[in-house]
Amino acid sequence: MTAEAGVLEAGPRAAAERAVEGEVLLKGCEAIAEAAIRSGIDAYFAYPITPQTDIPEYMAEHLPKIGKTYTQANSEISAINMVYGAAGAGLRCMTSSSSPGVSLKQEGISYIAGAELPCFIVNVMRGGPGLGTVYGSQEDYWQSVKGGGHGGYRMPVMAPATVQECADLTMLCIRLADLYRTPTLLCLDGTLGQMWENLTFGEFDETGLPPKPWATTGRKGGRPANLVNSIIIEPPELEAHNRLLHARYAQIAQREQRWEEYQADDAEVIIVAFGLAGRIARTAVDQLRAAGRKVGLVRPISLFPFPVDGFRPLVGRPRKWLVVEMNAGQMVEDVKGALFDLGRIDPVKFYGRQGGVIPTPDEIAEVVQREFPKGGAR
Amino acid sequence: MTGTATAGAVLPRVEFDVQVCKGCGVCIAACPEDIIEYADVFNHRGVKPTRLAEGGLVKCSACGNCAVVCPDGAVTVDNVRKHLHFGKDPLRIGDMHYCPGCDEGTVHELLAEVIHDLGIQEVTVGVASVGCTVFAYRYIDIDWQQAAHGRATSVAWGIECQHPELRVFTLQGDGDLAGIGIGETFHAAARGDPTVLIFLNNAIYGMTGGQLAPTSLMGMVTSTSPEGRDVKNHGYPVTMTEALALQQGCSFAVRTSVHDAPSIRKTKKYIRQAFLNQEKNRSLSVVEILSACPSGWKLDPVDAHQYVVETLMPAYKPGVIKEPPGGMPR
Repeated sequence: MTAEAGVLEAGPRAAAERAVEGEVLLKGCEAIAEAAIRSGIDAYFAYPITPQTDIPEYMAEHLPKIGKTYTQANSEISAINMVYGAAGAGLRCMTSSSSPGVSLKQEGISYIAGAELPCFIVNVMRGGPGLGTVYGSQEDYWQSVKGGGHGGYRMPVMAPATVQECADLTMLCIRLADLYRTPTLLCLDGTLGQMWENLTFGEFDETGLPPKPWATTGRKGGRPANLVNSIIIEPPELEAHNRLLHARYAQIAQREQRWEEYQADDAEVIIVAFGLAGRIARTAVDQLRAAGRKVGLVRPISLFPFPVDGFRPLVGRPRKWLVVEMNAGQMVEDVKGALFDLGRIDPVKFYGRQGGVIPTPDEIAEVVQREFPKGGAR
Repeated sequence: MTGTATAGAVLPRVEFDVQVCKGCGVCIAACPEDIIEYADVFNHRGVKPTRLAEGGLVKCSACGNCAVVCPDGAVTVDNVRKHLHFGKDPLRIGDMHYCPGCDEGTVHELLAEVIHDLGIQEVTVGVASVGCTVFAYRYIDIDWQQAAHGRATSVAWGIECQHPELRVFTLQGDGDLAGIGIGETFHAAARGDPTVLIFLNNAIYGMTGGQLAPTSLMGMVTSTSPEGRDVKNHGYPVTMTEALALQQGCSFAVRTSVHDAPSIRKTKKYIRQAFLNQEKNRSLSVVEILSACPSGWKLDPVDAHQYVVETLMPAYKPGVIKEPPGGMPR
């Protein structure tokens, strides 16, 4: 915002210096970082943790060159509170971490949600609980979508399955943050964060994003004082505030559902899986189709809001459902809830691998064959 | 009660706002002429407010001490002869929630006066974190951010990192700054953030009702050290400002107090120097203010200020701990 004279502005020229025009080969983490720079972030606050450290490294190399802030904080807690301050001062800003570090950020995220500040957070998930492992996992689904911090807030959560989606959904998350004055979370497993793929960067969509007259940029011109705050002591006032927040969450739930449907229309068995598990399940669908099974896939891309609308066209007749996750079964609750809300009591089975173990397409295909044998009772 | 000039003498104007007064009595102790007393009737707060005694105005030297020490800005003194005004700064707003005799109100007044005097109210952003100061935004008419417990300096860096034109300060207590937020605070000094850190050290957790704090003194009785602070159970007090001053990114560190009118005037000077240093040296400036917590200490407000002098000051010596390069800002 206050780039020194002679410092490059973010944009095509700066991007050219980073040699990322046209189709490029990047890691998932690098794609996120580059997409965030192209989305015009002013500040990024870091703390190293595997397997997301490529994001701070990319930011450290490129952000200062265009006059933006890169700060390595003393902890994840400090980093998320820098985000709070920066977002409150009207900056477009972000932080990133991996599971144990994201746990540390939860207090700050709750404050950010309470104070209605737009910011972007990345969780490159690893296996837990505790220190767990550095290998990729999806064990933070509940933490991500159910309000990992205190106070019952929600925030948009997007789950990419490819490096291309890492970039696209980063731009979307940054846009949704400003649009709804909310923290947004990009949630991917560590494997995708470390995966190299070709991608092409899109344009950040600035249309319709509101100005930030509430930002604490000083009472210039004698305007009334601004306050960034999450303390509302009187219960009726806090209730009124929370009702407004939840009305906004309802609006987000209505407008921002995203999913991918693959060969689901005529399928007898539909696999539901997100992120990398969804991508692996897609290969399993191809294998099962080749073996003569009518199997399809619904891959939720938005985890909050959960894409209930993706199930709506599929509930006209009985199906069998298999939820595949890289955890012990977390999203499966939301799949059951969505089907119940849509009036179905189809059987829903679950298959998961945990602790950083990645399921193979063969394994998933075998589970489908075993749990839902061909010609088996409906 | 309003004084007016009578024939032949230029009398000061002295006004006590009986509704604002919390009856702490520090103005009575601060008056060199001994002309302030408690009223006979209660105000809406249920306390007897202070007032000028009958015939006191003619004895009043208009020194302004009563107005300077009043933490709630309930007293206004106009020294008509010398054209001096003592009372609430226009930037200071609202009815304070602080307990009677709490020094936090005094520090709010000093901040408001310094920000006003320097003409920086349009570029100043305050950060107040969890603790008694969390409602500071209600009392100084500038932009504010409320921060999580201990995280004020991180929030401050977020605010100023791309806004070099802003003058950001934090208002933090000892539990916040030297306990839960010691890492954030220390690293603000290590980074050399251009933040003014106003550190209210009352050696106790005030808002939660008087528990042991990192800065509680040896032997100090609190609700969680009922036998007094001892090494075995509680370890030693943290000397935070000295630790911050050792860091290269901290260019100005001072410890002061607000227990009487002269110390309040000196503290105002230090706060002003901290804001000047912020502009000049673009690194951390720390003003530690030894503050009375009469409720937490379970002392009468006047005795609490005596406790600052007799007990806090020997352990936490006031004075300049680190002078900025190029000398004290003027």
